Amino acid sequence: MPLLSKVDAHPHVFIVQRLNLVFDEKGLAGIKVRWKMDDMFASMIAEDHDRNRNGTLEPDEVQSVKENAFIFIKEFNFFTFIKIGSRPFQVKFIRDFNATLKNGRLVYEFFIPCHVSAGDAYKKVSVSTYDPSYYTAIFFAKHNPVSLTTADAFELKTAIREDPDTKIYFDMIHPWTLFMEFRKKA
Amino acid sequence: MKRLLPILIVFMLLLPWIGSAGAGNPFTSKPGARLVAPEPPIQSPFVLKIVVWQHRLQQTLSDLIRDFKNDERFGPLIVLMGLAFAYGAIHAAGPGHGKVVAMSYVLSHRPSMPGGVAFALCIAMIHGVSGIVGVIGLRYVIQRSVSQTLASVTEITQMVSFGLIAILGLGILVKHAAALFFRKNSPPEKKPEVIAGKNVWPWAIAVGVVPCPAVVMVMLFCMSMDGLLIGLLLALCIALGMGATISLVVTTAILGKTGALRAVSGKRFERVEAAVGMLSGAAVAVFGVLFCIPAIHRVFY
Repeated sequence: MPLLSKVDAHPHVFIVQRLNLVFDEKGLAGIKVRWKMDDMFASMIAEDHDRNRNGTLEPDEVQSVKENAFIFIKEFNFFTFIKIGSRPFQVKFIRDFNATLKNGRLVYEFFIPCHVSAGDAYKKVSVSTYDPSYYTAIFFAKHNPVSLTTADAFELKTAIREDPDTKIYFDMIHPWTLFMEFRKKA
Repeated sequence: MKRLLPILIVFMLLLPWIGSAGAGNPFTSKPGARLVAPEPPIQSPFVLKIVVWQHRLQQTLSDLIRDFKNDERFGPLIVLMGLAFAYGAIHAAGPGHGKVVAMSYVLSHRPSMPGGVAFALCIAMIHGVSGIVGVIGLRYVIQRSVSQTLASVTEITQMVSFGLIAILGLGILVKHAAALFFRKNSPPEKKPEVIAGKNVWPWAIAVGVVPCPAVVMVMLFCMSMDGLLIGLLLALCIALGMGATISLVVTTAILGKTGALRAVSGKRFERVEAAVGMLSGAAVAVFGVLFCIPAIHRVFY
């Protein structure tokens, strides 16, 4: 039975994500999140919110998606668990939510403001994205999972790997996490 | 008591898996309407592989459904059915889907091997059919948004399911407690029961009545391309796949129970079996009550 219990997989929604790290003159300004939802979830959302059935989402339909098929995850930190150093940063709000539907493919995009000033020493920030109940599985995209915006003034190291300090889904999964370190260029 | 140990260990290992059966879609469920999985101390890096396979399987399934709808050839349909079966089998390997309650049924009854498999298939088919009925009922009869309404339907069925499970667990507890403490010694009867329909159905309904989200999503996806029939067919294949996994769990439980009880002497057989049944009933009743109370709260408050 322990063997059986290890063969365990239960997500119903699958997301492939790309993160864009946005910098300003002081340091990290926030993270732009791009989630490509799985096709079955996409068809469910299209069915409910693409009211004129034209295969795309107009602004009022995007608002409907936000209010009925997105904002509820606010309760779960928008599935984004950030640590600045070792200190958790609560994601209480997001900006610029958008949902696009094209050829049956649904993409959610939103911006998480998270200001971390850069100094002479490296600052460490980690970003784990997961659904605590594991109803949703979130994977980093195979190609270009992380990109940078206006980061020229900073030295930056990034790595994506499992976070051994975080365990979800019956302690069986270490979520994939983006680890970054940055400082001002000398 | 030493001979009871293997069964108790198996049961204790499975207890943590009960919890997350009722998790709802976080994107469409209002705050507070979903259960967050607890975190018992079992760890397996292999799980991630399984999740990745499930993702790929689901992606392939949706691509092939699109292809099939485009050219409607018979070949891809066979592949689709096989994929749907595999998807159901992997999907049901996760927490929920009635595996623990099905195991409790095995521990508290004497089902034969074919009876156990039939029981597992009943659970899976009801779980799948409740998803089919939910989607068709909401879409064509009530004509409401499936994703929005199904969340509340799921809450109600969860309440009913947990309530029934609590009652059934209590029934087993009382029955086996009576056998253990009040019945005079009678000659041991080790013959397994051939599956008895009237005994099985309340259990199968209690466990399977909550609509399966995987079936719902596949149905909705097919229906979005005017493929109701292909949706129905694939939903049934998914249910069969889930049935295969639950059957594996049930037959393992039957083999484990039979092996453990074989070591018990004839005289003590009934007492040991009654004690195991009593423990199973108590665990199921406690599980049912623990999950029924928040389910009632979610539905009525």
